[in-house]
Amino acid sequence: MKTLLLAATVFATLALPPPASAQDARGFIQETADQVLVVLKDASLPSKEKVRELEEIAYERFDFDTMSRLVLARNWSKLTPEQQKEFVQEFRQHLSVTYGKNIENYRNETIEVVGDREEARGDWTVKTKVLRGGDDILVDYRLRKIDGQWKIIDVVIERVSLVANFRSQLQDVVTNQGADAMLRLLRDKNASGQSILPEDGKGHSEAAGQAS
Amino acid sequence: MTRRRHPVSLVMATLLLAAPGLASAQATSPEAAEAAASSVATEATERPRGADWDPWEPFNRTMFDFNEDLDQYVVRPVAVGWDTILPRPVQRSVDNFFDNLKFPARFVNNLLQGEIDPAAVNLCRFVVNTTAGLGGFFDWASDMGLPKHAADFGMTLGRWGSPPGPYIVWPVFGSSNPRDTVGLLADSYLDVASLFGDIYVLGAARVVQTVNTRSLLLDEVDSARDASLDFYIAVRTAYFERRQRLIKGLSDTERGTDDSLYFPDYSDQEILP
Repeated sequence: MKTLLLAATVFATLALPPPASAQDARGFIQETADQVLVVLKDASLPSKEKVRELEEIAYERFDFDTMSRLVLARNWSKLTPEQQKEFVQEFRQHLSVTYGKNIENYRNETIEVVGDREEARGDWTVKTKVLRGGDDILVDYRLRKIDGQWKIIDVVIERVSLVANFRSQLQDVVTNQGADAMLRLLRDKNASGQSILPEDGKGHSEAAGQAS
Repeated sequence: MTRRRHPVSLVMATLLLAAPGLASAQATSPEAAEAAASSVATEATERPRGADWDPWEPFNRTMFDFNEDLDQYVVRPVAVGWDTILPRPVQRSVDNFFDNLKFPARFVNNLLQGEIDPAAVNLCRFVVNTTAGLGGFFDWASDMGLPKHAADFGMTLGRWGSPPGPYIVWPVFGSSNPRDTVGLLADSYLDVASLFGDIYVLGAARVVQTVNTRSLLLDEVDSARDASLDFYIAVRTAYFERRQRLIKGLSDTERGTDDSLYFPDYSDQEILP
């Protein structure tokens, strides 16, 4: 029995799969997807509670500081340390508010990890597909190891990068109106969006969801 | 419809010829295309990849606002109604039907891009879905592991080395650039729909197609609009980036080359007071 166990262990070690970082980058995204789906599928949770739980997952798994730097790029250094801090806060808030509203549109989609690739300087891209019974959506996650932990630093939906998209929008405002105006815009946008979080689903998506 | 194409395509051709860098970009490799695109981009702007090359911005913004109004007051309300009446699976079937009709353009462009396997897959898809899928309403091919391989003439031109040129927003048709506009016109000749029926039938089909597509995107467009600070720039960047990535066609294992995106240069620090 003991030898059998030993043999099994040796075999298991020999049969060790591909590079460790590829494995754990994929695993990290798989785990994130599983956690998110558990929350989304939980019918007993009210919307507000769902958003809160999803925020918790996001705060742990995204690196908003790095994302903010990437989004502002060379403009980052034009901000004072206080402005930088405020930007990280507001940017995170913005993502939370706008994407939080989307939970009402959840229609039993599932997520499948379909591939991964190594990127420059140790970054990793994990490719996923959101399966929704026809026209699946490609979602790639850009990961970077920060303090020994994988963190998501960009989301590329159907070949459109969130970081690149915000960079171009903000660059325009910072260049033409300055950092203060950019922060004000973001703050106003957040303030106006916060209360819109719907208590129940929108009419049209509900109807279509039930009919299917 | 058919008659109107010719004057429009003339205008387009003029615009394309007017795009600087095109004549010099006859090379056929994707690398050359990329280099040509980026050299055009550097001429116009310091920012990476030319996503914001938009010399016609005032005109484009006017057209963009027009399209937004058209959407808000006409297309979206109709699409909401459509979405309320028809269940999702029916909408998907309608979508499949119209998508299946785009097969000839996809197939020809696969071949023009030298992509034999994707062309074969698209051909199988067309055969399977047209027969077993009852005229294209059901996409059994995807279930059988035959995924769609997108291809259009704008992409083909990109792969052949044509730079996109500046951003253009057309009324009704929306985001484009000179390269993709030529592509759209070229592909429209391979639109099998124009072989059938009179202009009214075709017009009605086009309306159904538009409303149906829009109804499948209600939530997506709403939330994209909501998430943006300047929707015009958000759409412009997304359009440019998506087209670039489609043309580059990164395979699953190939490394991206977005160094300026993920490792930005903060060096302005020293230059600034």
